[in-house]
Amino acid sequence: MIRTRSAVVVSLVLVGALLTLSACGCGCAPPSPTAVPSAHAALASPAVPTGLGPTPADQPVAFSVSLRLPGAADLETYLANLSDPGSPEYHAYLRPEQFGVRFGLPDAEIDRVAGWLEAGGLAVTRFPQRTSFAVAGTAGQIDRLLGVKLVDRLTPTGVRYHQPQGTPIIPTDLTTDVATFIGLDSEPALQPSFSGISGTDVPGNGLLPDVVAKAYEIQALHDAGLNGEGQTVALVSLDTFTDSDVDLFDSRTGLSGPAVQRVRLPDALDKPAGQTGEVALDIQILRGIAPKAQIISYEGSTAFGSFGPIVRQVVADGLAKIVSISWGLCEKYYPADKRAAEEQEFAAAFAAGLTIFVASGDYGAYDCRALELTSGPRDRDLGASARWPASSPSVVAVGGTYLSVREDGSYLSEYGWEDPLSGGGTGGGLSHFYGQPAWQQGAGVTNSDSNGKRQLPDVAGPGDPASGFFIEYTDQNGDLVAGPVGGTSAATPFFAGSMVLTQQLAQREGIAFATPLGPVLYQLAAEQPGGSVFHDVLSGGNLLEQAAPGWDYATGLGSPRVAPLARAIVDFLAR
Amino acid sequence: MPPEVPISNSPPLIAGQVWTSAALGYSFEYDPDNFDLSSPDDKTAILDLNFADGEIVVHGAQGSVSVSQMIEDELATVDTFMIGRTLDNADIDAVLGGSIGYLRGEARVYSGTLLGSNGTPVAPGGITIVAATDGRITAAVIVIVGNPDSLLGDKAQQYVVRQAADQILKTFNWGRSS
Repeated sequence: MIRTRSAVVVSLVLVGALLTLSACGCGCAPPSPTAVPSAHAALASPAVPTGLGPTPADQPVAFSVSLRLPGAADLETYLANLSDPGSPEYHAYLRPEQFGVRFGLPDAEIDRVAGWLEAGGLAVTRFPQRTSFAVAGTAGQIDRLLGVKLVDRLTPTGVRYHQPQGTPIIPTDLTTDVATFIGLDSEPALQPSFSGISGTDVPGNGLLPDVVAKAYEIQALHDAGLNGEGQTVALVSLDTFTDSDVDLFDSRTGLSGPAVQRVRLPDALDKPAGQTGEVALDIQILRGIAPKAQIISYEGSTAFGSFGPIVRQVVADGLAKIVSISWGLCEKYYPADKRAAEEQEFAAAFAAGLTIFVASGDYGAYDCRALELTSGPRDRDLGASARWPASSPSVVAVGGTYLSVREDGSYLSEYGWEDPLSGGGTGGGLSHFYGQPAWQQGAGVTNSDSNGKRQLPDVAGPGDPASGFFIEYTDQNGDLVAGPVGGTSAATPFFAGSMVLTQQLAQREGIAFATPLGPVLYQLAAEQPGGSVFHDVLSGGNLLEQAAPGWDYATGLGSPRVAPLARAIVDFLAR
Repeated sequence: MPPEVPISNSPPLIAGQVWTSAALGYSFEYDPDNFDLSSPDDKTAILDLNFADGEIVVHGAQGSVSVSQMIEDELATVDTFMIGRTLDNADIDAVLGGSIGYLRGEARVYSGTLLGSNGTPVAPGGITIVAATDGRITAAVIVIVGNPDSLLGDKAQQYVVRQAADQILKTFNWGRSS
């Protein structure tokens, strides 16, 4: 039974809506930078980049050369052996230089490739894992050496980038050594998994650290003096943050900790762009859970392939065992060579005992639907697709839930996050490209949709913006924005922060914490009684698959009961 | 570490306003700051958005009414205030995984021209209908949007209104039998 609409509503309400949306901070939605399915009008007149002509010859350009790994087949076997208790290589992790010597090019080949680049006037930085070089020079030097013409363009939103015209020419005797180039094309491409809307079944304007701590049993760790002190967590940031936002968070929450550090890669943005909210969200969630931990924001560009150089730097620095990535893009449309180059870096991180948590995406099982509205076919791709790099077999993919709490702030229930009418939801599904890692086993993992490919997510945390985290941040215009924010990019630092406390517990008890946690989480889920370390989410879904007992495509193994899970992980590592 | 926290008996936090169908027992939460609610009968709630040109109707029936029949019944009513109603097959408007209260159902999207109370055409309109059943109740949620392609900020009005409707869908409680 529908009443007939009043015609006057049509025009009058529109004005009110605009006022509401521009005045965030009191339960309304902060402007989300995430591309969303929106207007037909946008499809009819797609925005196109503006050509600016050749990149100035003296313009500094930084890029990476991804190197082939002659030991790639051996690497695959080794990675499987790492989590096989019957293998002599079980938990036999490798320092970056050991990884490089075993799987990478021999010294002579490394020297030949570097020599070629340096002969062209380029500066080459080598890394011990031998997965790639960082290279710097001028556009003119690059044009001459690689036989391309770099040209500058401007995105419809005013971001300048460069692209090569022509295919880079590699000397014949080096073609078996050089896999691809990362960063010659710096067009912004990667998206955060960041969504905003007003909260409902959590107190006030969104989750605050004390509520998160109570709902997910983090409080017991805090009460035991575990607050992240002495620990380091690496945050992969494809934008930047404002230091005063961290100060504001500290004063509002009464928390404090070390100043957040920046490691800026050469291709990092030189000023805040449109995704500062994502970086702020990541930092504030990590700090709310592990306030005394040292957060290092590794900042790079949003170009395809950008994760590789950042993770390479994290591995080489050796400061953090836990990494959080809230960014990605639909796997099907990610350039294969860039994806392969990044997977090498992720594999080197896995081999070094790092755990990389990655957001599984905010568009349910249909991640390709999320891209910018242009006339391109991918905008209208409604086929199921997983998100990269969450679909990497070397990371832990984190999905999102809708959390309800009790009046006293304790946990009540969770659902796999779905917004069917607006297309939002926890990312999950099957990779098109990567096989299932040997460690992904357990109840529910083998199901009627399984096809031998990587399944995601692995775990979940609060991600539905309707039970989102309250944050305040300075946007690219310098305005302070406040409100509840969600997305799997909230669930990801939530899980990473929880594991930082686990790392501290391990350290306190003298237990080495140098193990990628993906295999451990699956092992514990199989060993522990149901519900003892994970909340097994049984309802909701990912817009295609529904949550179910055991592992499922919406919430993986479930969300953490952090203190019991931390205890179980440390006991596992102590065996 | 301290012993594990015992399970709480504290009642669920209700952050919004709850509306319950007196006849059928289903309920949902809404934010009274964003919606004006009216209820013409004990099975129906109508929520007018105060920040966008949209209206959300939540309607329940006995479970003996099939999901398909429920949709057809609602469409018959839609046709009293919309002319030229046609299926909206635009991928961008597609509803994938339509559900109410986390129970999967059926969803359809239409476009047409909305009529004013005097029967004259007033604006392009978008209609999204989702229906589902738990066996005891069959429920439908109808989202009506005026000028669906107009932009509110950087988003289409249809998207904004449907996003608001999602908040109703996810708090929908089927009541006694669920």
